[in-house]
This record gives sequence, C-alpha cells and structure tokens, in this order.
Amino acid sequence: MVEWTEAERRAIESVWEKIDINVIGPQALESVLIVYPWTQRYFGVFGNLSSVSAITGNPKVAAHGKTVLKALGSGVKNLDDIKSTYAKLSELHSEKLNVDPDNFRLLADCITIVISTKLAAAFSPDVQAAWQKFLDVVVSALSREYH
Amino acid sequence: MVAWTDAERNAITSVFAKLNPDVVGPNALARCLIVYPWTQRYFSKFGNLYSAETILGNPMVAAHGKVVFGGLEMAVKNLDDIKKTFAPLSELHSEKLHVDPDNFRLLADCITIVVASQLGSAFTAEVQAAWQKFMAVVVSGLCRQYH
Repeated sequence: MVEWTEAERRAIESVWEKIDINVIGPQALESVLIVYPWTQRYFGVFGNLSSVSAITGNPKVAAHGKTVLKALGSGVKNLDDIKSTYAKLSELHSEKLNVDPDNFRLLADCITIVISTKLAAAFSPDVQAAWQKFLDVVVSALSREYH
Repeated sequence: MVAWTDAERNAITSVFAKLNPDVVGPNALARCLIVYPWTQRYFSKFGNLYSAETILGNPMVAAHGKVVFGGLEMAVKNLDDIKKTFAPLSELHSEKLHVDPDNFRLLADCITIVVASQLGSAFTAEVQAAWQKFMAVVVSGLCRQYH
C-alpha cells in the first residue's frame, strides 16, 4: 500500500483546493491532444480535432476534460485506496476503450504542467513532489487491470 | 537533422526571452533534487542537501542551475545544430561525470514546469508542444555521446 506523509496529504489537498477542475481538465486534455497528437486517435467520435483552434474550441474535448478531473477528485478523497478506487476505470480503459496505458502518464504530465501555469510559486518543489507522487499512483492504478 | 517550423522557432525564442536566468535554472535544478532525490548523488560536493529548504538555499545548487541555464541558452542560439553544440557536454557527462542519461529527461521536465509557472497562461498548448520538442532535442543531444 502507498504510504503518505502528513505533509504529502496536505500538499495534495492544497493543490486540489486551489484548482478549478472545469478549467484545468479541458486545458490538460487539449494539451495532450496538441502536444502528443497520436492521442487524438482515441477521440474519433469527438469530431473536429484537425487544428489547435479546433481542439481548443471543441466542446466534447472540454466536457471530457472535466470528466477526467472529476475522476481525479475520487483519488484525492481516497488517498489510502487509490487502487480499488480506479479498478473499474482501469478495466474500462483496457477492455473497452483499448487505451495504451503510456498515455495516462502523458495526460498526468499535462495536468501537472497546466497546474504549474495556474499556481506558479504556490506549486513549490515540495508540493510538486507530492503531487507527482499522487499522479504516479493514479496512473499505476489505471494501468493495473491491463493484461 | 531536426526540422523546426517558423512557429516553433518563434515559440522557443519568445519563451526563452521571457525567462529570468537567475530564477529558472536554480529553481529547476533544486526541484530536480527535491522531486527526484536520487539525483542528489551527483552533487555530494555541494554540501547540505538534506531538506527542501537547504536545497533551495544552497548557493552551489543555485550557481550550477545558472550553468545549466547557460547550456540551454547555447541550444536556443543553435537550434539547427544542437547535436554538435552539445557533443562536448555529452562527452563530459558520460565520460567524466558518469551521469545516468535518464536524469536529463527528469531535469528537462523540471525546467518545463518552472517555465510553465513563469509564463502562466502564455504557456499555451502550442507553446508547450514547441518547448517540449526543444527539450527532447536537447536531451537527445546530451545522450548522444554515451556508449
């Protein structure tokens, strides 16, 4: 099981309190689709992803970004059992959506970068360390049901 | 040879122009030592690295952060020949300093996070894409002389 120090718990919660998931989610997902264009293959049903402005203006991308960040909130609220929190989502992404789990890490990186643009100095090295550890655990849980 | 679009060149040089060399390099290196503590093994001559505060206050870390930033500046000024520009540095890190090249990617990630925090909303997805491509080429140049 993952061990969290008090300082790490506080850091993760402090990031979560400061961010607006309705802003961060869409921006992070847009970043993934733009910075790592092969990820667009998973979103064929989202319509127009043919340019940066198409992606940033696409309402389905924005909606899905919010969905992803809301799901991240489950992890924040269940730090001591992230594995079982994400078991069903892991199965969904593996069995139904067939998403290469490497892409979870890319999305996690983009979430971290967007958070850094918003929180600036408040995203101190200590806070970054705790946040990245949290995302590593989430990514690991999402990858767990793959076989 | 790496091909840069005009948009990418503009993005990279305009990001770089906005960066404070006294802040970005030191902050990024400190972050690397804090978020990925095993990297401290390369800096035992720097004295006290036992906590985030001491790392952030360590003058040798700050000085070396500026040296790293100077290396980045060289790359920005030689976008079309980063490979050759970094050949001597690559040899130094491989032959003399014995740095595991995986760590270049970690430092590059920390630099990106600091740059994101400095630029805020100006660090758009497009700018992020160009910047990360640049960092990937720099890391590749640094890894090139390893064998």
